[in-house]
Amino acid sequence: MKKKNKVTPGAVVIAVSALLLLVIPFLTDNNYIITTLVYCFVFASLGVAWNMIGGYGAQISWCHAVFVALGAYSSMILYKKLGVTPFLSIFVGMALAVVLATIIGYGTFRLRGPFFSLSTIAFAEIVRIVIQFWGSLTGGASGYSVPFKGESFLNLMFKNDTPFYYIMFFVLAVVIAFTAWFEKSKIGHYLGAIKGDEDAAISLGINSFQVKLRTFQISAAIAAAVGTFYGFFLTFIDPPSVCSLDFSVKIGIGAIIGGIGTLWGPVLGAFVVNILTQLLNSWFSDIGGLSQCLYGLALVIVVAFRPGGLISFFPGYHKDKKKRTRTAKEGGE
Amino acid sequence: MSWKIIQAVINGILNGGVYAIVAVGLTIVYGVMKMINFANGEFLMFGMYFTYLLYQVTGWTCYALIPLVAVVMAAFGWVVYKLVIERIVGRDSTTYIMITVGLSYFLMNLAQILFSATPVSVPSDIKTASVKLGSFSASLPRLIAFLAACVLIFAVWLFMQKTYMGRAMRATSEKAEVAQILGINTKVAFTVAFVLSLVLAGVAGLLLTPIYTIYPSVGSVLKTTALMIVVLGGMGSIPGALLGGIIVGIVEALVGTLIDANLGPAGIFVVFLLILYIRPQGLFGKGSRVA
Repeated sequence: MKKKNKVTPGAVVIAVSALLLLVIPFLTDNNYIITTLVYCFVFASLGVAWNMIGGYGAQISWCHAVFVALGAYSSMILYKKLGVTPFLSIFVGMALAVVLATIIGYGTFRLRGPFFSLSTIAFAEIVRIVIQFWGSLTGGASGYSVPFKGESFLNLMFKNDTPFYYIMFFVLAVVIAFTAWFEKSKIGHYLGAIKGDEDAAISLGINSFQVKLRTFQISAAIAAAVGTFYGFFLTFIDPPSVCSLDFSVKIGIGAIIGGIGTLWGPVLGAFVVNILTQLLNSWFSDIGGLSQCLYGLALVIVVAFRPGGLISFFPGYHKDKKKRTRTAKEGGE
Repeated sequence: MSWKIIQAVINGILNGGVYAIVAVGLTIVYGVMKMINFANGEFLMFGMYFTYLLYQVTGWTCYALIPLVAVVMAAFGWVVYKLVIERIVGRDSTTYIMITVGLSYFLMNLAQILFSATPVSVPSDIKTASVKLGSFSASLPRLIAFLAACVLIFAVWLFMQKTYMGRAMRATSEKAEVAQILGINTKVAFTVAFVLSLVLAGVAGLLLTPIYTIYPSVGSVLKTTALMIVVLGGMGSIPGALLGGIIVGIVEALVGTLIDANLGPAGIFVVFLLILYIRPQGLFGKGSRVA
């Protein structure tokens, strides 16, 4: 998980927080804290996946909730109807997500400008309407739930949230490790070059279309995999909870506030946004919409004044920051 | 059956008019600033709330409030422009997307805090009135909204064609740097475009008050529809926005009538995706945007 070569202050912070997170379930019996942290892990994993295409690729997607929904629905339906373990059906959701990502990306990655973002919204709406309409399979607007048939690791069924805590922690660690590898891989470097100057990258023989499409497929597959676990964690899902534009935006907002285009920014952002949301909701429970209002505002402020996000306040961040501002200047249309 | 189809087309055209006003505002901002405003639906929603508040104060019928709402929206737009948009002018399109999505979130939930999530409505005598055209009927508020939309869009088109400011804005949308060299103050052009788009969104909201109830997320649906129309008509094209609006209105009504009312919006998005595959520059788009 900690793939830094040198021991930097950042690596120490990450190692200490990871250890702390590992022992938290032993320190508290408070299920509320555990549940909140599970949400943090889920959103952090999704934020890191979103950041692959949104941050490294500079293609803002507002349909990652759809991939989560595909993962959650396909696994839950296969489990309830046929008794398939989620560890197998996870691949069904991932395959569906890749297919959908290909359909979206194939039409839009050839174009520049906001077409990709727009069509992600269009797609998200279509899928949400289809899920809602196809009630016989998905339960429609009234939602879908899986029955509890006793504790079983293979079926991801537990009496309390602590096992899920460790499962989601592990999922997050895998997603981060994979992304760290991805960042340094050939395709990751291609992506950086395209973000810096697309024409120059193409003239050097990089197939910009294919690189973006590949990245979007990977990002979508990860989101769907996380979605499978998320669905079994919730045990009840409906279109507003897993397939709404709100959910997609929340994934993106966490990553942007934390630090778009960095490895740890989306993780930091997901924790800050989720924990603050929980705190605000419990302190000001009578003011509906306050936390969403504030994270909308936070997004505006971060983008306008601190495009590097929260992670840019950390001292060890300088190198990344330079890289970002350079690409931001040259990457303009 | 054919009666149903013609009636659906009539409803669709009337709805399309209102979609078109929102889309015209979006398309001008895109043309001049190259910015897609994801918060437009929320500005429309605020236009509806302003209409509601002004109605509470004055008691006038909503159509008499058009000038007042326009002024309020213009002031609102100017403040938003100065506070937020001005700071990011000239950055890449990713920044525009992120900041307007943030704005849309902020405004939607601000409305929930200010006005609560309970829907309100502006009383109107003509709410349920309709006009008979042979065996077909057209709801009166929708007909008025459609006619008002046509007048407004024509006015905006005249403004863009005939006035100095309009020409300056069109020059800016061709190529901002060159326009600047030619002595056009592009900053003013940006401000006017943004404020104008908010006024149009606000008036569109006002025209919708006799048709819809007002609640904080009322703009979300219209917003996505309007974005699709802008691409369909060709980004930056006013006639394209009008035609796109009407096409989308008809598609939505036909799918809603012939297949299922809940699938109407899905019909719009399928048309949108087809356009992206077949003709990404839109019906009236200039040149090709292919990389």
